[in-house]
Amino acid sequence: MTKSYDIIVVGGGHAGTEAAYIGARMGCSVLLVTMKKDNLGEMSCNPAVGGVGKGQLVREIDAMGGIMGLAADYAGIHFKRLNLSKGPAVWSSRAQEDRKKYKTFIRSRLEEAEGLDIAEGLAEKILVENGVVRGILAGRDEISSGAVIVTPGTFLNGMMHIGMNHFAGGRVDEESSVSLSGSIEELGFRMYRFKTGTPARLDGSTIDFSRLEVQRGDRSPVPFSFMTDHLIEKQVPCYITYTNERTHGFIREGFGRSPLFTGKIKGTGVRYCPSVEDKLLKFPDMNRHHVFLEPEGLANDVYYPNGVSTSLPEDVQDRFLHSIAGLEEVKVIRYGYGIEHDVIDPTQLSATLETKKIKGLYFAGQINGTTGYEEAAAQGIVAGINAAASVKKMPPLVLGRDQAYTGVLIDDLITKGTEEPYRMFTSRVEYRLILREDNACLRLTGLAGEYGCIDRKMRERFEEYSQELEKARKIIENEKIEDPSCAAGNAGGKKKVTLKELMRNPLVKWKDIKDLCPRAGRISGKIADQLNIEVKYEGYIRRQEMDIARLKSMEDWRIEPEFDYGAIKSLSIEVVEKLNKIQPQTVGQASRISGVTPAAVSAVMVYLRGQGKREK
Amino acid sequence: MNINGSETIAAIATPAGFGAIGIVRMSGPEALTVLGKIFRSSQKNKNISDSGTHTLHYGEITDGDEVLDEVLAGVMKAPNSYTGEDMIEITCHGNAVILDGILELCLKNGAKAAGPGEFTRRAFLNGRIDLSQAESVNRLIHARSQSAVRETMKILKGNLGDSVREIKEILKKVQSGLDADIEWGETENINTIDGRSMTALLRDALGRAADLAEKTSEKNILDRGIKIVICGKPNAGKSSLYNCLLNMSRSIVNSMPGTTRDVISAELLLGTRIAYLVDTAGLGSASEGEIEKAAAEKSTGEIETADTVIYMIDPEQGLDEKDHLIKNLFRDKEWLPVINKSDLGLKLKDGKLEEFCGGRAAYDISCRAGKGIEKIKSALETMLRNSDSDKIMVSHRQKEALLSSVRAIRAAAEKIETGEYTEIISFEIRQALEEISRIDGSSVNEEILDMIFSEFCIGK
Repeated sequence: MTKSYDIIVVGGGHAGTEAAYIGARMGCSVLLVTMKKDNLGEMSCNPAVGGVGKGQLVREIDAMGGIMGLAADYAGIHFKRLNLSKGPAVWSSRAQEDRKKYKTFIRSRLEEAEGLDIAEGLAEKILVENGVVRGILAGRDEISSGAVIVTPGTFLNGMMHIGMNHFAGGRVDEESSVSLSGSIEELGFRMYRFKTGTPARLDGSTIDFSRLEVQRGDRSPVPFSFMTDHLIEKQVPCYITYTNERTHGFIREGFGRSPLFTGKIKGTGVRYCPSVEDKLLKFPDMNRHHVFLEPEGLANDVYYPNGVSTSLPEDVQDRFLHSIAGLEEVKVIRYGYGIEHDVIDPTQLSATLETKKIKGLYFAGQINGTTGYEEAAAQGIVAGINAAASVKKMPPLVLGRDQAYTGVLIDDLITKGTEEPYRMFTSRVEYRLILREDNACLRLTGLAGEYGCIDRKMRERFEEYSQELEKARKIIENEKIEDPSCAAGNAGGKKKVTLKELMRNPLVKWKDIKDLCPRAGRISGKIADQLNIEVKYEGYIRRQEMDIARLKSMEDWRIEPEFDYGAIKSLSIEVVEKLNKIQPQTVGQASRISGVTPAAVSAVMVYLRGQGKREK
Repeated sequence: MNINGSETIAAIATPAGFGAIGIVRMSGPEALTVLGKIFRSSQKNKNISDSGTHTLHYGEITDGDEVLDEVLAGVMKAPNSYTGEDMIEITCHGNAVILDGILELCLKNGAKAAGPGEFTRRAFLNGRIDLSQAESVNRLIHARSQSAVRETMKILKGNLGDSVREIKEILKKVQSGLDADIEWGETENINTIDGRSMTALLRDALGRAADLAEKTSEKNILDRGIKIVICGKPNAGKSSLYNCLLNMSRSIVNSMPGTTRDVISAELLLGTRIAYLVDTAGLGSASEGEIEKAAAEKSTGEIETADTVIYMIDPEQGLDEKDHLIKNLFRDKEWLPVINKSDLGLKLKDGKLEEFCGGRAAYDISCRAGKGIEKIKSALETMLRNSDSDKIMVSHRQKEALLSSVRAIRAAAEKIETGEYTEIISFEIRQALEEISRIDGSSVNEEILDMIFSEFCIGK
């Protein structure tokens, strides 16, 4: 007898766990197929969550009912907000994680989830009939489902490299998923290969920290999740050290046995997170690079040297590490490696992450050409929501570029594709001043609630917060006090101003206002922070909203699926090919396809308008 | 009208009326086929459809056995033609009957009549020209003088586009520096842009943009001609000068003060340039009737919008407070003091005139004797040449975009000074980039398209 589920999720990494979790939350029966239950939610690379652009993603995942933020708060051992001097829209949270605690949390949440089954096994084949997915083949079991979310990460035909040795695998001591890759290729998807890598893991008891720069967590750490009330009491520090000319000498000596430079690795690497070999090659004049030593947890004494990712042979790794200050005596627990894996061309997906070609088949995470836990998780939750929405006959969830970092991430992938592993940046976001960490819930929780992604506890707390915020907004707009900045002694006494007007003055602190106005004293600190940003940025926010409104007609202007651009004679062959390949869902999306000139977009608009006219 | 441009269009390209030659144009995939049906080459057995691109053919246009005219047919093939499509230009004799006949033949054989501006619109849609060029073509067609043609050609060749691209490059450099600081400033060991070099770059961009704004003019001086306004107190001889300059009696000239109650204007050719010459009612009249008041208001308005002012001084009345009050209306503009009726002799006291003219030489003329008029004409010509020699013509839309980007760059520079958050400075620069991109149409939205296409009568 074949088993049957509403949704099958293949892979238990950051994308897969979010997809499965949210699918079950929305009331679907979900099967998560993973090779090893012990490694659900494993952090394969550095033990940290968040960062610039990524912190925003974590907040959004949390605002939509996901688990990454909760897990990062629970297992976080060092919290830091970045960019505090650069403005509230780019304030970005980052936390060092206890790797083990993190995955334990994820696993227990998944095991507790109602309607969610976890099976150990290897998904080998995606079963498709007449362009519609009907399940998977795992071992000898055929499991049927109308929605399959594929999130294999680096396991998809993974090939690991250490020096001139290479072996199939998705992670150390874990096999790779070769037949699944074949199955995807058989279905006719365009695929290529990407490369990523990770540094050695170091035994903390052999590091001399006394000579290293210490970086401590924030004095008053801020959690990722809207639902988190408490964070770890005693934070663990990180350390900073540097490579030097000697280190570089050893690394260069190893170039002859580097899989990167001898042509063994052919996949495209991450420009934003290069191996130390690449750094030396690209910046030959820099005489040092910084190395950030991140603790891997409280229970174990392991450190992750961020900045020296490498696939050089083991002896070279030992030699260059030992030349770094503080690491002279270091013992390597596991050597760094490079890994190549298959990815699909993400322009074959629609904004729901469903493939255009096969109904019910979704791809999420690294398979779509991204790098990073947060990018994977954000895709996972969107794919999960949409798979469940289609099961429940709800409209699809498509996040706009003006709504969420997640929306920008997905739109970029499906519109432009990616020639190198894609990483989130704040500068990819046109409406950066509007899409902030502080308002993630205000942007997304209501919407996610409509899909049934938000549990009762969070819904109640969010409603309470929204009401409190609304009340506070009224207070600052209506409450008037004497302007303390205006000189006394005028005939009519001091001028009266609203609290909001007072807040606009950069010299006035919220504390002063609280002292002067008892009603303001009732506003909580979190709400006050939110108001402060809203008030100080009001003008800029309005300008961005005007831009959004101006482009709205293009974003809302839908193009029918499988529209043949060859019908527009004035388009060049190249442009027709691009448009036919990507099949943009809106005119706005068409305008963002690289190589599609503004003139071509206008031609499309003129044609569509004419078509509409004729139909009238 | 077919919107997608798959149809072949035809139109008479030369203006109505008689001329030595006239041209009928066709554009579209069937242009050569249509020509094949109506053109008989002078070389027997030559099939026009097989001819190469950019070739000229001598022959006859025929309707069955009837020969309409002997013509030259130019063949330009896609994509290297003005519209980017196959194009034909039939040069025939410049007679409306012949031109109409040829056009009708084209239409009978499969071409459609082109809508206004459709050739240019196709050129734009096929990526042959950018928005600023498309707008300029419109101007070129409507240009009124040689200088206007010259200036418009400058944009067609992309002068404006080059300056815009240069400014964009600088702004991009600053923005990428700022964004690199946001993305990696705290986690990577990188050298991002420092405040000083950022300020220097922005100052450079601001200088270029402001310079460009200075050089561009949306007042249509060149297409419509510069506006020269003659003003003065009642009965100072304004209309006499107006008529002298135009060499004809257009204004009613009467020695009763206040005869010119309305504004009168005419085109005046000065060298290669067209000017608008405007005659106004006298200002500072003693009578205060409704009509006089209204006339004075109109005159004031004309002076305010003038590019150049000719101020007529009445030697009999001399200079008084009223003259100084009127002068306040145009003190910041280019102006010429002119004294008429020199045949009656001067009643101006020494020094008063010099003070009033502020170092300018006053022109003595006599309208009745026709003396001194040529001198004024050449003075106006020189003024014109100096005022617009490096002006670049832009549309109202482009000028607005340019000014907005200047404001945004200035805002960014100020915000660096005041230590504003990086994300805000970056926001201002992004705005400047978007604004400036509107000029050459490298960023497009529906609003812009609507604005431009309304001029080209699309979809009507």
